[in-house]
Amino acid sequence: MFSIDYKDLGTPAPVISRDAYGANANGAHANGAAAAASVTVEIDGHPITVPDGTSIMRAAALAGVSVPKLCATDTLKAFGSCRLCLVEIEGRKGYPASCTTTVAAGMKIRTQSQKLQQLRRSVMELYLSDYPLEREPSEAEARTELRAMAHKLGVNSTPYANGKRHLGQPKDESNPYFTFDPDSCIVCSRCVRACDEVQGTFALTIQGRGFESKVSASEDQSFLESECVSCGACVEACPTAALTEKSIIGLGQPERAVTTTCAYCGVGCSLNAELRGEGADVEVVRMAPDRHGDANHGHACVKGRFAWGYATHADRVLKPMIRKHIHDDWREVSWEEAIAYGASELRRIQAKYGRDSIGGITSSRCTNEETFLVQKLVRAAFGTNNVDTCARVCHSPTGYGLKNTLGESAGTQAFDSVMQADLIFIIGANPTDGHPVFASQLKRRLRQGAKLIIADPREIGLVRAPHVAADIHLPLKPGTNVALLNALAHVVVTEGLTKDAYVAARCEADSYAKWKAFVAEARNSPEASEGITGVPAANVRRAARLYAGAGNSAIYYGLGVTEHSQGTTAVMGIANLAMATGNLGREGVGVSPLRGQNNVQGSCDMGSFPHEYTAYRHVSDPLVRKSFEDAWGVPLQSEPGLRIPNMFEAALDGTFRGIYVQGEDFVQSDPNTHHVSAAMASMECVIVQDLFLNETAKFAHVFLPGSSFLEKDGTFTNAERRVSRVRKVMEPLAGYQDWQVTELLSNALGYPMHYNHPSEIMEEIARLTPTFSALTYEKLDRLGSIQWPCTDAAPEGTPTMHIDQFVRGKGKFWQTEYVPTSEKVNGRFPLILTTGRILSQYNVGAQTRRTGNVVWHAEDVLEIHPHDAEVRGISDGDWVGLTSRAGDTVLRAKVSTKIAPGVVYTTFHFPETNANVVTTENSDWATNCPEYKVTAVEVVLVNQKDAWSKRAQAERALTRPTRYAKHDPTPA
Amino acid sequence: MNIDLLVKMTNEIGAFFAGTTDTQAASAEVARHLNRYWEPRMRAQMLSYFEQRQGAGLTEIAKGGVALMYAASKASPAASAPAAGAKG
Repeated sequence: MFSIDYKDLGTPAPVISRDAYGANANGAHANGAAAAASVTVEIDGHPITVPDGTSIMRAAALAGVSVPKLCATDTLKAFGSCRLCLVEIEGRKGYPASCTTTVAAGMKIRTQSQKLQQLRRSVMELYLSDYPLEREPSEAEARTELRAMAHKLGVNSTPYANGKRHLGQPKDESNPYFTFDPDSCIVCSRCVRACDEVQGTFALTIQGRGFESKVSASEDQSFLESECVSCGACVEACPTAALTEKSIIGLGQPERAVTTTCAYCGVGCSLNAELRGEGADVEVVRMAPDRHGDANHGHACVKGRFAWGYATHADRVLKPMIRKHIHDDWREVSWEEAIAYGASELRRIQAKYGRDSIGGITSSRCTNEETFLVQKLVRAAFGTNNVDTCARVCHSPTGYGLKNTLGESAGTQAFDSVMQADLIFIIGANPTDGHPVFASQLKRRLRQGAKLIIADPREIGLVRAPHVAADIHLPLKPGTNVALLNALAHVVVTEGLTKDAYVAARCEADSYAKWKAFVAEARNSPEASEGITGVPAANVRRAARLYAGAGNSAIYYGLGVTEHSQGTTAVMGIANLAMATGNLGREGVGVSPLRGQNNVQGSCDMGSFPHEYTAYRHVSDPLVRKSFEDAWGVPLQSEPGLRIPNMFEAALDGTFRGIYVQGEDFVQSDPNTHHVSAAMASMECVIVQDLFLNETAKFAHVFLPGSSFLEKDGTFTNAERRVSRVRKVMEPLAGYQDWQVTELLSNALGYPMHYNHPSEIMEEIARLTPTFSALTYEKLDRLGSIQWPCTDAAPEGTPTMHIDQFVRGKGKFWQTEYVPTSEKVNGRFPLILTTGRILSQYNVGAQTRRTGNVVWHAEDVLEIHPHDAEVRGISDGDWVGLTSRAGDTVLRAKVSTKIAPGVVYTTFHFPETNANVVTTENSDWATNCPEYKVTAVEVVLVNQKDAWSKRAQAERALTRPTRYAKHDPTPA
Repeated sequence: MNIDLLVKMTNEIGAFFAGTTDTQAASAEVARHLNRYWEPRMRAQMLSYFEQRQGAGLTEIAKGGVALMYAASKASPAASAPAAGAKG
């Protein structure tokens, strides 16, 4: 069912572009597409001019004439099956369907006549002949398009009521978020087409013929058992309430909507929060993807669309709490007491151990404004540069690598750019699980014929998916990205595939010459590195030729590139490759990091790193520092502060004793849990601000309740540098938005902050940040979203970067020597563990574990190749012990050929099995980003879960949170 | 801090720059990197290790970088190795 009061134009806008690819889901197209010729027609006497290729139905809608329809919607290609949208065209015979007939110059079209009315009524009567018309409609059913059309046509009964009927079929309630009621289904195929065209999973079909026709998931399975990924596109498309959200059935029809931005991955989907009630009684009924959203164009995934029940979960802690020691019981106190206690402890520690003995962590899940405020608090109120963010452990190498090659610490493209790509090269990313809405767009482009190269140790979903297959899969050994990138570059250079004129005009000649000589060395050839990467040389050669010769080649990468000891080197290697082949500075090409968390890009932009102010300017730059000193009225330090792993080390030394952590759970998310736990236990004041009593809160002395994205105003910045508004839909359950809590703490520390609204924080950001100088809330409200840089020169933002020249001036090539990680397999630890994500869960799982999403993934499992499993006597589903030099844990084995022999794989969503107990302190040379992706391990069969996980569970049972008792609309 | 870890990190920084330029320039890059990205107490610890153990365990390039920082700290102690919290 549609979002409230959405105006559906019936069919997508026609798309004209250089290669005539088909329309994407919403009809929007990447900028750069040529404008179509105009055609003028007359509809019911109204002249209307529309682009050539527009359907009559869409032209009529644009002219304000609504043609009856059931199977058509503007998110899907015209289908022409329901026969309700018939029209008459002067001079033509018959009654063509207006959805599948396009306009032609001078056409005179009638949408209303007695004959048309009679035909449409007959069609509707046939539809209703096998529909439970006599049943009292639910609130959702009463509002469906089917009922609205019947009403419009004046049909409220059917002459065929005594014919054969097929009602009383069982509902499919297997999916936690929506139901399928076959009785209400009219087999219009909108759900099937949404699954194909919008989501690209092809899980649904119409099975049977005639009266036996029925929507079927996979091979006539329940929705839950089928290949369905629960994106909800089918539910959105259904015109009859056969597919309906359970939340609507439970709570009733929404009354109004507020447009906001999803708080899950770095795609940053625009969502309409549909609500009921006012004031303290506001309830979210559903999240409908925003069709005007520039990042998602009306699509969403199982997390963003459905998994928001955590916001009102009973585990939410709503009262501030303090305790003197971490083994004491928590004591609920007032906000004033908690803030005063935390502030006095921080000042006491600084007086005793020095100013730099405390620090803070900004959150990539909080807004730009909140992140900015926390780093301001640390730098100005604490007086230290000891501030860092969870981007440290994911994409910090992206910042360093792209800044030093291209000149800006961000991706170069808009997501829509992929629709112009001829070749897509995915390295170290798993978009269908990690960035599902972008993956749907990517698959759409692949179905139109773009080529695909995937470099990944695992056979990720895109290697072989319905109507999508990688042209080349390079299953490299974990930790060998740089060797592979050098081998690709070797082929490009030695086979003369470089774009020398492009490079001569845009890059440093000296660095290019040195780089060419370096990669051309025989030791970097695919043949020489085959023994390192495990990838056959011939495939590397094919891939390099394909990348360099395709026309528009676009690279997308993720944490499989950055979370290595050579993460930064690999990012530089990617930039080298793109520069050398001329694949930067226009639509369809580029280097695009797929960011993990919703606001990783934003938290980095906002000056969260200990050595940088906003827009990546070093704290030692006197002019920049002075601008902040003038604005903030205090002297600031010129030396870099501690990074997160350095903070743990300093804590163990006793020189770092207090920390303010907003919205991050590094005890679960950071590597080598035992080491992190020891560091945290040595601290004297840990202030945790979060929705839940998370793993880090076990070591906290002050707990400050956080607010979910539904309870605050602000902005998020997604992986394409797109700044979008987060809008408050309900009052903060604990009384304060997160930025207000930071403000309280700052005021208690004697550094006054008095913002009335996050828009005032954004004004300060814009004043102090060149790339945000022209960005305002007013402009965001007007344009929907803006991709930075947003300046006087680019007042509406910058979708594509480096168009005329690189931000750095001349692009710089770096020689990227392959240096093997020190983490090596040996007799004791003969396997390599690599980690990743799964679609239904998110990061440490704090949100998704508290939703119905656990039905898809209720525990982390260890994927192991059948060969490795067999020699260890391990069968599918066995408990296995996973041991590294850092620690050990126990989890269930999943025997799978998706993973290569010698490699095992798991996710880190659950604290019970905490994969990070085994990951090590190894990190990227430039940024200290942990080497999550390579850990030498051994796997053994065990009889039961080990003492560690039992101990962890016992500890969890001790930390009882204050329960939030409000009704949770999401069945868990 | 764990000096073994600091030595390992410095060697890895050296290993990257070793591939980009000659030994002397690579050492200068190591020094520049440590000055820009390492918090003063990490640098101070590395310098004190360099003084006491002559940088044992550091690669040639890494040791060259630390030596440059050490020389600078002797020439102007406040500029290169301020004590934690003593400045600003």
